[in-house]
Amino acid sequence: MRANIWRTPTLFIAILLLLPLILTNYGVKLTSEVLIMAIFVMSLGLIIGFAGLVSLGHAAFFGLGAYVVALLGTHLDNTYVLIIAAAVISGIVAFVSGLLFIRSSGAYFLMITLAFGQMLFAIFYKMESVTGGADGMAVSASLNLGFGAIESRVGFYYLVTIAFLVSYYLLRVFISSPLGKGVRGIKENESRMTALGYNIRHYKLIVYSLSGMLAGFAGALYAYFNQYVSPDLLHWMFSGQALIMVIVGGVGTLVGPAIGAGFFVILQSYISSYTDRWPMIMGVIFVAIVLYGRGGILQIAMLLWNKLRPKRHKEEETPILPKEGNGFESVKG
Amino acid sequence: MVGKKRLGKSRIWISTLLTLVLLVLGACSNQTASSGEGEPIKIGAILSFSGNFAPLSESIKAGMELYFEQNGNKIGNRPVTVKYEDDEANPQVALRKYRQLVDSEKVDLLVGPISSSVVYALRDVIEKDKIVLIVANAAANDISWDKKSDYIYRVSISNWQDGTPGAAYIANNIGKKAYVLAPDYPAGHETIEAFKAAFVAAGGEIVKEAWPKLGNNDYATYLTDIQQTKPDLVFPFLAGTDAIRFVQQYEQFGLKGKIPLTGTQEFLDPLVTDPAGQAAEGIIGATMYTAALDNATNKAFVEAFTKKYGKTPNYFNVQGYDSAQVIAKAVEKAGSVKSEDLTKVLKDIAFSSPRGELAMDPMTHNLTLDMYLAKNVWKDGKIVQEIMGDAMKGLKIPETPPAKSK
Repeated sequence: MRANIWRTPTLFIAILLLLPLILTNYGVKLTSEVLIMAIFVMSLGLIIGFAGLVSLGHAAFFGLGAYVVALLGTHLDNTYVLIIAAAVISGIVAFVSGLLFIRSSGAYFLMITLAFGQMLFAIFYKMESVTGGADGMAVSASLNLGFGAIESRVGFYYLVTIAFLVSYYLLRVFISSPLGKGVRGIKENESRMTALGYNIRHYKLIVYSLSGMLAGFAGALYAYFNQYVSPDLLHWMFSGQALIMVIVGGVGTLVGPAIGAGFFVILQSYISSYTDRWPMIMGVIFVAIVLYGRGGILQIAMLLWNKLRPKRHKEEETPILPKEGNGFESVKG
Repeated sequence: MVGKKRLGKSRIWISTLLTLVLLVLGACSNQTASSGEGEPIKIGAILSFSGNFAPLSESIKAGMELYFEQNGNKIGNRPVTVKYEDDEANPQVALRKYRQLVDSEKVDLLVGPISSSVVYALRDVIEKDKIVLIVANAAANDISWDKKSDYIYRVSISNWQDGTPGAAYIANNIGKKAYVLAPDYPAGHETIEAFKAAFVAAGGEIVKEAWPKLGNNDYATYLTDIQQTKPDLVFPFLAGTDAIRFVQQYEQFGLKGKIPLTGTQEFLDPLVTDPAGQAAEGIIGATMYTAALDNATNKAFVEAFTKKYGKTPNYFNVQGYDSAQVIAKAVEKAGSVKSEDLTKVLKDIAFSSPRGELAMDPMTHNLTLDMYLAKNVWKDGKIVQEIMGDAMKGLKIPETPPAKSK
């Protein structure tokens, strides 16, 4: 049993680590971007899929993290300090704003996060003297973890891979912890959790702040990745794209959003080279997934797997998509 | 126990899926190298085909395609392929497209972008990768000043050159008190700043500045304000749909004919005046190009353009045409597509543009332009531009930012 449990993650990690060997230079760069986006989208997937908080302003935290690196980076050039500062500041902003926001839910939560995101966007757009306004600013800080500047693409790729794996692992740990279970309980039945004596606001606030922190962390990596930040990173369009990535990938799981991020970024990069109408194609895919596969790509893939897999396994047929909150993410290893 | 078993299955499945996704990444990338005689020259064009800037991008593309078509899609004896990419006017997307073009497609040089924020975003990576960029539209002044790069050359116009040339004529002939209006974003501020400096130097006075947001629908508040301020003239800088709406609402408010409307070259271009219709009649300003310009290159250009596309060319078409032309000239003269050879000839490249005989200013990597005074007149059921004379000959952007006028 034990071997079985460790086999797949090990395999996956090995693939990630060996990938640069088969990819082109551009492929490595694109995969790095996918992994950064995956961290960001996982942070959004966390609050949507496990706490039921649908936010349309999550890019604000991502952008905030990126700007922290860009702005503080002009004064001090220590990668550890900058990345931690980005995560902490985004986390604090998420905590303070969350104090207000988590009182609302559903469409109201969506609207208030949207408004908040646009407010931050406007601040960074307008503060031209500090942030460069619409023209954005270059990131002067160099990536250095204490053993020489990381300038090669492959070096950056490995850094991002480790960041992704660690984020994923921490999120798994969080979800299967009592705290995470409490959060999921709130999503399933809020009044019951209240009746059981849980202070649901505390739980929501914690998961919201955590998610903001992770988004800020991803934003910080993105600032290093592009060496340039602009207010578009905080714009609601980007929040909306992240939301689409979560839904396309599969709500209520951890890997789903990550797959959605990969799917979206790759599609955006390639389809848009052939046609200017790529948002239309994305739109059709999105509608199809929402109509026919509410669990996203992940569910469609599972469906296919169940159809195709050999008969002898049939006796242990399992539900296509595990019930929410009782899924494969929840079982401890 | 059953739970654990199940878990193993789904895990295997998930990771297989992820592997597939990641393998797709690898499979998608294709590599081609190009160099030497007879090998195709690859040009990457980063423009904004979706969103507000779409008509501008389509115009530039049309101009480029016309030039290459006229020359058999060849530079020297090497065929040319142009790869067009859409940056959605978003610098982050533009950077991704840039990497795709440079790393994966291995383009020899770049043309682009529309938006100033995109050119700023690309500037540092271009310096690092040492790849030549021919700027076909982005007008940010700083690309000729602090952000000047050995690899970036502008064949369009800078904001400074857009705002400055009409000012003296307007102050001397139309009125001394100007009401200025521009969208609240960097290009708007840069253009108005340039106009203000030149207008004040010519003895004029700015009575009021208005800064509507970019992509405004309703100019009623500003038009009411103009009615109450009673300036001698209005000088706006607006582009695309903003300009069309402003011109139409200016007429609806009954201001047309009462307070003279002037403006930047955007207001003297078919891209704005065709949809705006008769409302655009009478606008006076300085422009670098109108289809009515009297020179041999322009006559041939207008004829070829009208034949191919069935409409009057606008100045974005010319920017596209000239971008293609400058690339061809530079590659022929340098005899290679290597950046270090190209930059040597691009610094002071001279060419026959439909705008006249033009040359690159080696100090700013920006064109020295002749600016013409033009007026919109209503003729045969459409607006045409009539040239009234020269606004400024050989107008160069200053080598350093001028001191701010306050």
